[in-house]
Amino acid sequence: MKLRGGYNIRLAGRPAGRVDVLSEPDRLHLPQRSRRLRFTQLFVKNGQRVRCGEVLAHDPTHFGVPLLAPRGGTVRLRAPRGHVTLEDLVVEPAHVPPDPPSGGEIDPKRQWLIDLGAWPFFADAHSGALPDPQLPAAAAIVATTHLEPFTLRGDVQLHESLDAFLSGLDHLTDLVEGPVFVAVPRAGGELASRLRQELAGREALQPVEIPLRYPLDHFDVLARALGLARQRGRTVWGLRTEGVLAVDQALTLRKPVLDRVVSIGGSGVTAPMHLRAPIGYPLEALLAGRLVDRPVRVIDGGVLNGEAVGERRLGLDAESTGLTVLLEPTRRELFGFVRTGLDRLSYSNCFLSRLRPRYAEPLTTAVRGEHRPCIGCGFCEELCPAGIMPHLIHKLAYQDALEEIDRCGALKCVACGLCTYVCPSKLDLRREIVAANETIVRDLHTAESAETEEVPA
Amino acid sequence: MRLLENLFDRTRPLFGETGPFRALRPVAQAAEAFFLGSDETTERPPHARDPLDSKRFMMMVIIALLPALLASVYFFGTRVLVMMAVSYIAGGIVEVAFAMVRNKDIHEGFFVTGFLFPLVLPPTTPLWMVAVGVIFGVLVGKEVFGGTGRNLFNPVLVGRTFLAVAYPRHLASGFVQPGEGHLGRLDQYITIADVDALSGATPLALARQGEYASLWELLLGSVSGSAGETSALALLIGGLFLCYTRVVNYRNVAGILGAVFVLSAALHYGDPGRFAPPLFHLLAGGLFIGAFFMATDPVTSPLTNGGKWLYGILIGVLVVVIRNFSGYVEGVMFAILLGNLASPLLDEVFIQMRIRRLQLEG
Repeated sequence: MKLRGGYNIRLAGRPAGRVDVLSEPDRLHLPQRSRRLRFTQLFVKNGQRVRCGEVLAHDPTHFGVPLLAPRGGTVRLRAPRGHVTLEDLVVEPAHVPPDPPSGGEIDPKRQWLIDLGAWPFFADAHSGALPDPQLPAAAAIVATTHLEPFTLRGDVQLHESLDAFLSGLDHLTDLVEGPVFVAVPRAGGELASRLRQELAGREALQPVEIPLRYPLDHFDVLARALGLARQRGRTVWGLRTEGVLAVDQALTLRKPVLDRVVSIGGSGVTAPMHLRAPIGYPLEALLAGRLVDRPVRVIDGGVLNGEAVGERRLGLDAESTGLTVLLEPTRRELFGFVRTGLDRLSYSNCFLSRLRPRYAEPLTTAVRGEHRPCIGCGFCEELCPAGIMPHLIHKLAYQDALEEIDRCGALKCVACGLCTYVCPSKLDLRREIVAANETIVRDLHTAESAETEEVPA
Repeated sequence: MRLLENLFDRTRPLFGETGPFRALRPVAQAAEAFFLGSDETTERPPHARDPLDSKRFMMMVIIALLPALLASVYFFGTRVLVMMAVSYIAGGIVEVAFAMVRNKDIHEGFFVTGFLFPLVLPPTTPLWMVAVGVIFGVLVGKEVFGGTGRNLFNPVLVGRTFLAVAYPRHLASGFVQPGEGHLGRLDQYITIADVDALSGATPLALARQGEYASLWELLLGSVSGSAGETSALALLIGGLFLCYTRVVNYRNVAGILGAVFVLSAALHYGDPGRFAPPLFHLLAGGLFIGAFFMATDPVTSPLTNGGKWLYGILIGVLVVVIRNFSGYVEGVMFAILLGNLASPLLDEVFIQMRIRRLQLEG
């Protein structure tokens, strides 16, 4: 398997292996939208009393994926906007929905996964979108890690529940037509070797070793490296450790997935760690006492791909994997460009920190330089996991040469953000490529898509 | 520090869109960037950025040139520093003028151009000639193409070529013997008036007459030549530093030096009486300063790895051909300019290959 590019940003504040259980909150704010889901179809009224595990809302555009009540309580709608709020919470055994009818449009096992809240852990490996449960899965890729700084660590979860993970994998092999690839990082340690042993004993599972470089755990990158082409009418699933555990919880225990483990890390966190919390847990309570006493930016997800959490977002959403908190820069440096740079890590070797092997840098949100024309250093190309040439696409985008950009393989971009991160001219290459791709798909590919996507099975 | 921040904060409105000094905005922005750096924060993912910026990038080149500058001052006297000051001032005026007219930022690439330019001139070059050369180099070599990042040719070499064509007599005969002893020429200020007394032919010119400087002298730099090109050792130290920092790509350098070595070895062992030995060609003249500091300019060299190798080899071959089979004794300058010219073509070949491979991968 050939994987290229990738880079680990050694950001200070890696979440420690500890998983803390948060105290029960006095209310939950369940966001009605997350990265991919929009829970617009409400099933509850203002003031209604709901049981734990009951359906609050559906996403009608995504196969009726439900938003479940993580605790029993009283519903408050639009207070605040965009959230379903639960008050007067009670901890009680979760309500389990009735068995889905067999012979329906969707296979009963998959329907369980949807009804019990495990489906949001699934992704279409090629597009990252929520996969259609009616489509057969040609294969599944399970990545045991998150390599982006920082989201939920796979090893932390596996440590707690390796058996549940293996049982989840068994369920997956039943659901998938082809092989289940398990991408395990090339790392030593007892856990990794135990996992390898267990995987080796199961025929339907195919262990794949990946280097510990972001974003080589990306499903699309892995799918390409494994030679899994896009096929019409079939899909390739991508799941991570927490997804496999959710499958196990739904199919072995028949219990709804109401809690999430999230990481909280980054330069702005005093004690980076993992937390187990119900969906909807108020972010304010979650972050209280955990942040440094300085202006910070809270990001939902990792540094490279996450979105800044705005004031309107109040609770953990159904797809959260971690919060990364970055310091906002407060002071400017006199003659920063001639300093030794012992305290700044760079992909290039232009700073003395190169001589400090174990150093992790407390990164800020600063752009750290002026915008300049491309100087052709080639760093973006070296890091690109898709094997494309971001600097070339930048030049072509400048000329609006969309067809040429398409020919250069821009659609292979997985938007990992490394090109933008590393650019010494501070060009936002990721955004340029993503924007160009949107136009390419809209203008150039819509007419021909029917033909090009058809690959004989 | 706070004082400086306050100063910039308070004067910023003066240079704004409606401020009285809006024409000087690029200058004010450059000063702020120089002293305090950028205060911009990221707006969208990725939320953090690598600390390397183009100021640091260019600064690495200047640090790498310091050994060569020190050697140059030792061998040819303090006048080199005056030439550098003239080069910075004259070239800086062009850079600032263009930035003001375009209302764009002043780019730091000029720091390297201004530093490098006097080092490739004979040490007795008149100061007005330094000014004319650097102005031509920056203006025609860079600004008319749209500034840093868009130029086809290396501005330093454009300026030097202009002087070599416009004032051939001086550029060919302005060389002096290097200083010796503890002080070298540190206590001297040699000008064009001293050329008659101190005149010394460059090793490459002497080699045409079958007279070879010792490799030791070439390595240290105690030979006649352009101000900053003589000390192969100082340039090698700086050059390897640049390769280590990854500011320059080793492929360009290895291509050039490898091609010069192999080709000149073939010629030498074919006809030792006529052609100089390969190590002599490696160390003599402007090969090291050209290979490490000019052919590696990322803007004017190919972007693709394959292109870089071919570009290096092309330059190396041209250097040997020009040195041995033309009227010129030194060929590095023309070879790199021809390499610059070929680099878009070389890139095109490798980019097309790359695209075909990407398409095959599906």
